[in-house]
Amino acid sequence: MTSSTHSNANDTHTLSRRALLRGLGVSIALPWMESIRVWGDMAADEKQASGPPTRMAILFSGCGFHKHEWWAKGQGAGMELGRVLTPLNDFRERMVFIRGLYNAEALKGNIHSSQTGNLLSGAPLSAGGTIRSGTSVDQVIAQHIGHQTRLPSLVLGCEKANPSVHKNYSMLYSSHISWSSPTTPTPLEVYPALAFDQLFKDKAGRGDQSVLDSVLRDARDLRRNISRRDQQKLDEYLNSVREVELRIERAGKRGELQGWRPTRTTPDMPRPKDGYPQDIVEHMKLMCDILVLAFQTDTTRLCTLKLNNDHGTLRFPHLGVDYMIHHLLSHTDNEDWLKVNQFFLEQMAYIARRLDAIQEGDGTALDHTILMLCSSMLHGNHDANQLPVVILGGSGAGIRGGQNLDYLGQSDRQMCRLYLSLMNRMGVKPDRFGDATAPLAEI
Amino acid sequence: MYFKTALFIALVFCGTALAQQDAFDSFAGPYQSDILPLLSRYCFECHDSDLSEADIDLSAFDTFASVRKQPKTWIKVDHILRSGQMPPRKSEQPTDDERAVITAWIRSYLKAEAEAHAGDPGPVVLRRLSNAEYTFSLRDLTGVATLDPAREFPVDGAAGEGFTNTGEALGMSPALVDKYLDAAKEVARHVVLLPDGLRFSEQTTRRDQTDEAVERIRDFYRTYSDQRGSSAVNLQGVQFRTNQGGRLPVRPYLAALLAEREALKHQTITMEQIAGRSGLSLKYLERLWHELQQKPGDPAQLLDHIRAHWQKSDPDLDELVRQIERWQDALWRFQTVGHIGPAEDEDRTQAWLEPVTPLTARRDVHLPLPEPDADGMVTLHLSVSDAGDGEGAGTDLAVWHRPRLILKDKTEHLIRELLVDSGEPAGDSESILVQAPHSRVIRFPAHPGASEFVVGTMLHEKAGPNASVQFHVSPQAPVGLNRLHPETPVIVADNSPARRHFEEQFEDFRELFPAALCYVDIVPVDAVVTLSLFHREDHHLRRLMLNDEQAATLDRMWDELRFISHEPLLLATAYEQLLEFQTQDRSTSTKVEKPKDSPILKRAAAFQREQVQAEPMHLQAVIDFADRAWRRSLSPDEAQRLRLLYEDLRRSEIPHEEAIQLTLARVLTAPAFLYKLETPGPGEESAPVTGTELASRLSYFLWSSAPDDALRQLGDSNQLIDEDVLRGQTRRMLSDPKIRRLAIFFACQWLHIRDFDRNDDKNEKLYPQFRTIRGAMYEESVRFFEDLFRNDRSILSFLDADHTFLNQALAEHYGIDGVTGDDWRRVDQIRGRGRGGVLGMATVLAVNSGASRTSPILRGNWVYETLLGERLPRPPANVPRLPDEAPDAGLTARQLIEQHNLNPACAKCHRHIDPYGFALEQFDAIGRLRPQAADTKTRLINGRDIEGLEGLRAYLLEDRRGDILRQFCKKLLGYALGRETQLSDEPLLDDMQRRLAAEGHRFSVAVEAIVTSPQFRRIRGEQYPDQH
Repeated sequence: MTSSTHSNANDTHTLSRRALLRGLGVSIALPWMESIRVWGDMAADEKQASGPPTRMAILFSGCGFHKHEWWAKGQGAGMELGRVLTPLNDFRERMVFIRGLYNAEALKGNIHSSQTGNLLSGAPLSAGGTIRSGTSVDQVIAQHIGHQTRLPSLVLGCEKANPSVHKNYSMLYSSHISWSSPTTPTPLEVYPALAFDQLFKDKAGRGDQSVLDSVLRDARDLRRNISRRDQQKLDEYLNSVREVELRIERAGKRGELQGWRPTRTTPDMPRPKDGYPQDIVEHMKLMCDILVLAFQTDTTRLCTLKLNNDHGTLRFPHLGVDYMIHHLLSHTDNEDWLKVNQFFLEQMAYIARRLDAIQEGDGTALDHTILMLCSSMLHGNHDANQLPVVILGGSGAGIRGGQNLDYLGQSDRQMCRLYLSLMNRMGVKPDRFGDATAPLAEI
Repeated sequence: MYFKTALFIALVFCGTALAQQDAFDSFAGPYQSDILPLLSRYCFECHDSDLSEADIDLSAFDTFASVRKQPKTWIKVDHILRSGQMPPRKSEQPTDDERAVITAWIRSYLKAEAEAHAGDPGPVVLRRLSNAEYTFSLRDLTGVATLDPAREFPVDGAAGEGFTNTGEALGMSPALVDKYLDAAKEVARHVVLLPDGLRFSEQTTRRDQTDEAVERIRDFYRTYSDQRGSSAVNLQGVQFRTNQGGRLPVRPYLAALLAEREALKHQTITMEQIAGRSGLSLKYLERLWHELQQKPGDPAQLLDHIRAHWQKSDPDLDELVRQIERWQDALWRFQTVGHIGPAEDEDRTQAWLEPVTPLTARRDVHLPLPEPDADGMVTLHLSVSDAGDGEGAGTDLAVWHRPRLILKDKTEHLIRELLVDSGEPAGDSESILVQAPHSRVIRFPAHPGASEFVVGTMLHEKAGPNASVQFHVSPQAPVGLNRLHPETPVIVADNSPARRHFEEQFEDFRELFPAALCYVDIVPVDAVVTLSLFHREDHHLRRLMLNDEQAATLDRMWDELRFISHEPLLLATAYEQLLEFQTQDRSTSTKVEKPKDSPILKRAAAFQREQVQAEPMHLQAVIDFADRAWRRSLSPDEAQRLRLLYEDLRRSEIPHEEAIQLTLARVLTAPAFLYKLETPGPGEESAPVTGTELASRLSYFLWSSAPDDALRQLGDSNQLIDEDVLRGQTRRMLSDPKIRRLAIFFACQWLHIRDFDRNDDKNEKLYPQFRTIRGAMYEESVRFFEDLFRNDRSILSFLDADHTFLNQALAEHYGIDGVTGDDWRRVDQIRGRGRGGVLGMATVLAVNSGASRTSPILRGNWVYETLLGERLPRPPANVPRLPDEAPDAGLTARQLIEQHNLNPACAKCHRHIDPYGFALEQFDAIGRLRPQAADTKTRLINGRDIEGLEGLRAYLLEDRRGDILRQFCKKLLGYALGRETQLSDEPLLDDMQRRLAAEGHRFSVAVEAIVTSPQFRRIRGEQYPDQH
């Protein structure tokens, strides 16, 4: 809604502005192909891993949460939670509540898409008719550790992308938190059946590899006759085809893994029905189940699940809230908005409970999973100056639960510092990410 | 660098470098003396190199030369100054005069800059086919309209001017490559291998493709034959109808000839004209005319009767047709087709349609006894006709032999009444002799227990060699004893001249009037066991109806059916099974024919050889297909690569058909198919694209698909480079039904109503009907624009049209009566009903509403941004929340917003947009007219009072016409180019607006201006500096 495009002031962040600008535009755009290795290239110690691996899942819910009900007081088991967070009550000791982080770049456009497209990268977003963000944290990690699993990452969503341009920003930004390159949002799988197939369907039909090999030669040939600008775009194709080829190769070598074995190798659920689920409750549950299954079978260790679009149009008839779409509801802060918020948090709680029921090593799968939920604004009026973040689990990776962290008012409260922390926990240790050079000490 | 390029483009488009230098010289002085000091005073505080607020550092522009390096920044400055947003209120404000000086200077500078670069093709990022383009290309290439391979692809994003055909938003990823490969393989499964090439089918299995091939032949048959004539069959309890169709359509041919009989005689009409008009076979029309116009012979023969009837001054068509059909029934019979057992010889296959020759030397006539009369007497008429040859006297001597009743106990009872009464005995006591024509009545007492009357009939031995008669026994009196009757056989002596004579005339009739032309069922279903998969019987069709070309088409279809179905192989398998089955049943001594000598097995072996011979042709067909799919000729290397892949696959034990499918899938996964690749010229300079590339640009712009053959050919031959040819093709394409795609992907996308048929934003409790009507709402909008584009209407009619397209459901939704049925039709004078143009369309009204109520804000913003191309000022900080919009608030949407807008911080933005929305408040959230009058009076920000849809429309068309047209042109240009419009496009947009005004705002004027522009026809040089 137009009247909701209210921005907060540009003058609130002038203090650290100059310092920040120096750090901008240097989000690490890793040369994609170089970072991909085939399984066989793995170092010996990687093969011999004896304990369960660490996984990371980032859940996203658009449009923020209830203005007065997203908060935490105290620490550990005694932590008090705002009503939005009540679904997470049981997990307080394994939870990190984080207040006050922000992306400086997200404050510029001040509209949904301009704060979501770079949520996981902190990169500057290009406005107008062009698309440019930054590679998101999940994909940077995938580029480093993705070769260890059948799928480098799983990128799921429960709402289709929005094909339009809004307020001078492509709604691609609003519909994607995961970006595999600065110009390419990772395509979302919104069909449960197809997401399930990614996990279990034997993708390599006979002849596939020959076909891919052949088109790759086309692409290399064609590359010579086009402009530099087009070459970059064609490289997306080249790299993607190569990646699929590698995946086929990897699939052939599966089973040679030594050391730790996943607790499950086959699905524990039937293949979901073809098509797009009409019921949002069912849709979200299926996607959550697939996420859990992907981790349990060690098909991938990285997943982003976009529960809805920022500026999204979901309605919630099962909550009796179908008089207004999600985005418009976010401008109300009424009880219905709260109910909807809780519904989203319940998804996180559901995943956590399911992971916690899986025994792995001396703990549960939740101990070996960093499960994070965030939004690109605190509440419906586009406040991106303090992003809502909550993390569950991950103790096996050294995340200390029961923390209630508040960075508001501090300097260097970049969201990208959190990402550096998470990257470290996942075994990836770059010098800098987005506008940050140091991880958060607490995480 | 940029400057050099600018200079170069200027050389190309704008005259001499000198002139341009002069044009810019006049800016440098005033910049230093007038502008820079003002900027320094009012702007540098924030926009200097230290702070560079909003990433704008104006202090860097210390010379005019530096200004020219970043014209984009100055567009922003212009916009921000014009909208009054800068300098911020807290800061020192320039005087009005100073403001005017700056803005005037910037604008004239930007104008000069625009002109200096006019026609720059701009930065067009390599475009992947959008999901829609991918789908349409595949449908058009394969001719299979039901293909939907992208149905579960990720949704494409929008960029540029807001369209999904913009390179930036069309990414690629491993997941997408997976999907493309799967989709391509799925499409490839639709390939049908033919004896000398391939085509595509809706079907993917051999069985379904075989059925389709059968259906193609049936369709062919049906165009020449009649559906009539089925008969019921009960085959071992299974009941069905058989022998239907394939009938000779006698009536339409006779009717067509009769209608033009005089004209034909006087040669004022040609047979070709009749054939063309009636859709009937020229060949048969000519044949029939030739036969019917012959003089009837003497004595009259069977056809002569028909000729005589035809040649009457006013022939009774019904009677004529009836006569012919009765004879068809007499002279033809239908049999079951398909043969059982190890029938080796195909000739043994029994025909469906067999000739019948109703000639015999003797026969018993049977008649069930009629009811006796009141006196207990039975009356029968016994007559003998002369079979129409008029040769009664002395020749047609006929014998009634042993007239008798058959009793229930099978005993016979001679009827003496006939024998006693009839004068001349015929040599024995139980026969009598009569001379045809002859008729008599017999009466005899009903015999208890008698059921049937029987009498022998034959010629008398003294009858002449030309004797021919027909016997009739009936309770009714006979008619026409001097003509030939179809209902009963003709009695002639064996080997007599009379017999030969009749055989000939029957044959003549059958030649001209076969009962059926072809066996339309093709697949025999009325035999229990059959070795015939397909039964072909269409020689009458070929003989009578088809010219050489049509016959060749038919032969080809049959050949394809054989090839597609693998019929010879299936037959061989069935044959071997049958043989085995029979052997089991027989004693060991029974000799079974050796299979290897069997013609069936030989034929199968020959077919396998033929299959192998066809393989290279299939591969070549894939390469030819790639030429179309890739929208250009293949290089020898590329063609070779396809061959190598195929061979590679074959070497790895993949069978031919699957290898062909995979090679096809590879063609459809190749970058040349998925991307709109173009080769730039060397250096920085822009160069024209090739004719072939231009054809693709044009085709994807207007049809969202690959060029058709005509366009491709003009492209390849470079004729398309010629502006007249280009315009001609553009007009041709605009009038094609495929322009519907432009309606969807340009117009609907621009107006934010694309995919409205899947809109799920509405509260189901409040609007339960929405789900069922949303498809119709969308269809109205699509049809409206399709019509506007195809029929070259005024662009402005999208606002003020007095017509739209409705079906009953939508008309009722709109409260417009008189539209019944599901069919769509144009409905006029809708402005009188409160509609007209997009502002009154349910799609636009609903998409800019909430789930439960209208939103004047959304509607107003839509008018402001989407139609007028305005941008709201940057919203201020800490704006209060919107009031709760829950439905129980008890206020109208307008009241809610007006309350909100009492806050000046809110009003700052809302007064720009809300009034437009208020004007549309008569429409509810799903586009219905509210029953009660709503408050639709409103005052625009410029002080103008308007009321309702009419008022808003009048304002837009009168006061804002230029803005509306500009926005339309800008969006269309952005869509055509696949990029955002830029400063250097301004002169083209100016030109488009001028031309539109001069030529009635016709849509084609805008399109032609775009496609003939350098932007559309050229591409930036390979070395063009990257501005990102």
